[in-house]
Amino acid sequence: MSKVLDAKVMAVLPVAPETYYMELEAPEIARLAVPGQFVHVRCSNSQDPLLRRPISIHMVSRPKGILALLFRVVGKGTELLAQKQIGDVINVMGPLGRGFTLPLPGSRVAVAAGGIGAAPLVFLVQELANMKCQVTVYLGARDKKNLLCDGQFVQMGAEVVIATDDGSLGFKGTVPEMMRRHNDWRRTAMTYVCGPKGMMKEISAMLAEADVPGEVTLEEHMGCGVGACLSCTVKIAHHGQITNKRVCADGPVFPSWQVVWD
Amino acid sequence: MKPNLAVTIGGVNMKNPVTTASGTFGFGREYGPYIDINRLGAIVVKGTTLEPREGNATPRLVETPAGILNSIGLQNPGADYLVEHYAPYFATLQTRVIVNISGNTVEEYARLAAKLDGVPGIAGLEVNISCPNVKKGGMAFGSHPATAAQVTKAVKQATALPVIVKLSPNVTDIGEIARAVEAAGADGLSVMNTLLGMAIDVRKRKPVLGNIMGGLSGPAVKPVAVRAVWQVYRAVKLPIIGMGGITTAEDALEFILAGATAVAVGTANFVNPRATLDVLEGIEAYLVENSITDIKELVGAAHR
Ligand SMILES: Cc1cc2nc3c(=O)[nH]c(=O)nc-3n(C[C@H](O)[C@H](O)[C@H](O)COP(=O)(O)OP(=O)(O)OC[C@H]3O[C@@H](n4cnc5c(N)ncnc54)[C@H](O)[C@@H]3O)c2cc1C
Ligand SMILES: Cc1cc2nc3c(=O)[nH]c(=O)nc-3n(C[C@H](O)[C@H](O)[C@H](O)COP(=O)(O)O)c2cc1C
Ligand code: FES
Repeated sequence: MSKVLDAKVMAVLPVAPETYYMELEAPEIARLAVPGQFVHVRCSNSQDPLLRRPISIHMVSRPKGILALLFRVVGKGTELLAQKQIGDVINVMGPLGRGFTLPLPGSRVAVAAGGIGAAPLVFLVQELANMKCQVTVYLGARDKKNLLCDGQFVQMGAEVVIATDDGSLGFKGTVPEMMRRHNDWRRTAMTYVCGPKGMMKEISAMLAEADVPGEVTLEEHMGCGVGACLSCTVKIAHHGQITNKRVCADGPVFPSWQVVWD
Repeated sequence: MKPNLAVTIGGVNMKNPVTTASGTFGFGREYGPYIDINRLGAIVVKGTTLEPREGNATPRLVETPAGILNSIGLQNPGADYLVEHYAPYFATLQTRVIVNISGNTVEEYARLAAKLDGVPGIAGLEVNISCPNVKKGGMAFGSHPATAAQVTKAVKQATALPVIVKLSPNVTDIGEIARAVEAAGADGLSVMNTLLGMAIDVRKRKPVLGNIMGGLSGPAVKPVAVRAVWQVYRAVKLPIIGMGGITTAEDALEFILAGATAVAVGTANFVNPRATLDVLEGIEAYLVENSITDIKELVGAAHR
């Protein structure tokens, strides 16, 4: 069950260029959330920007009642969010959407993250670590400065392999290019992917070829966030039939082999 | 004393004047976790067509100053699905359910109206002759008095349900269309649908919406909508459901004073899922504060 509540900002800090980490006091959301879900955030109380902004649940601390977000400033809404101070109150709605499908405890799994796509995968890897899964994270960024969450993944016991577009850290190239040179992910129970659309599309094709099940996290412009307005549809193929699914209510996580990429 | 909030829109008896704008509230259930929808006077559900429709290409929604442009394109599962899967749920509600209908041809409107006639759980029809997001039908019917009247007459003949016709603001004289629809037998009017608009991404040098143009809604359109209600109230005797940018009780009262008997909350639901109830509670508080015993006293009061 999703809630709407006023959450107090407990922390907000820059962690990379144009990228902020924020902690909100939202015990009910923290208690209910599962990895892959998101919250719909009101960045200001004015009518401009009007709509809420969808932001993934980056991490929760249930004992402390904390909901953590990680976001990139790309426009008006996220800019206002970044300007919030400790003690400010933000209206949040959530948890929303359907999260990742978890494997059997102890499974071997892979996680592929590109840029800000790492945000929801931290909560996922924490859950996988609790389930004693063996996790390899293929983590990519533009450059070393923009690499996100590598420390958190290592701390959770995951093996982390890094790719940067400019080669300033790890493999020089993209995450899919790096994955082509590795074999670990080919023998996993599941590969979870979140990043730019091109990266998710390419990895989905690789997974299909290797016959490995995968899940991707899709984005679309949203209105309501609760499945009512049909703004956020994506094309999903199921049993040979292509239908519109709502990112907010049927996703944002979808089976990699079902997505019809454009 | 509790003021009387009950109103009637052409045979749809509502316990209070607050309802939802079609397409912004799904089929009602989606907002179940946030509000008790049984407290609303009515709900108007998503636009329905005879056959299922896929809708338009994405992006289907973009934000503009204090508003949004949408080009959903009437995605819906079709009338048979609605009757089979949603109507039984509607029948369990303690609020009236009005189904918004669209067609490509006059005949399609009539067949759809006939199909929904007598279905338990459906209290009335809102006839959408004002959708800016479909190529055939929609706004094309609502832009001319003659075609607007034709659709109205055909729907009236096909059903015993109250027929509320939803008007488009994208016309030269909305009063003229309202008069034609009234003469054709409509029981009520919804004013207004979205304003045709568009936005261009200057970096990509391309229209933002997949469908190029879309309908503008939200606070930005409120003054246009209040004006439209004012003009329609002057032109006809039919009860009006006023909508366009309502986010607060004060906004809703503007519509009522301009001539609306009921009000619908649309885009505001996305921002505040409790917006309908906030509007309802605010209207009630205003009546109490001003010692008004019946909401109907306020309808069109700004004209007097
Ligand atoms: C399910 C989901 C989870 C997300 N999780 C995160 C996250 O954890 N961290 C993060 O930094 N970003 C995340 N995003 C993207 C984030 O929602 C957008 O960057 C944000 O809405 C931009 O708002 P703005 O006002 O700053 O930008 P503007 O460009 O001014 O926004 C204008 C409009 O476009 C929409 N929009 C712009 N970019 C996107 C986008 N990529 N996806 C969807 N709508 C967009 C906005 O919501 C808004 O309606 C997520 C998106 C979705 C759909
Ligand atoms: C996402 C969205 C979908 C809509 N779908 C429909 C529809 O199916 N049928 C219809 O008659 N109007 C539709 N409308 C128009 C609204 O019902 C309403 O007339 C308009 O949005 C103005 O009200 P608002 O400013 O409160 O949103 C839609 C509006 C939005 C924003
Ligand atoms: S945002 Fe409204 S249906 Fe997904």
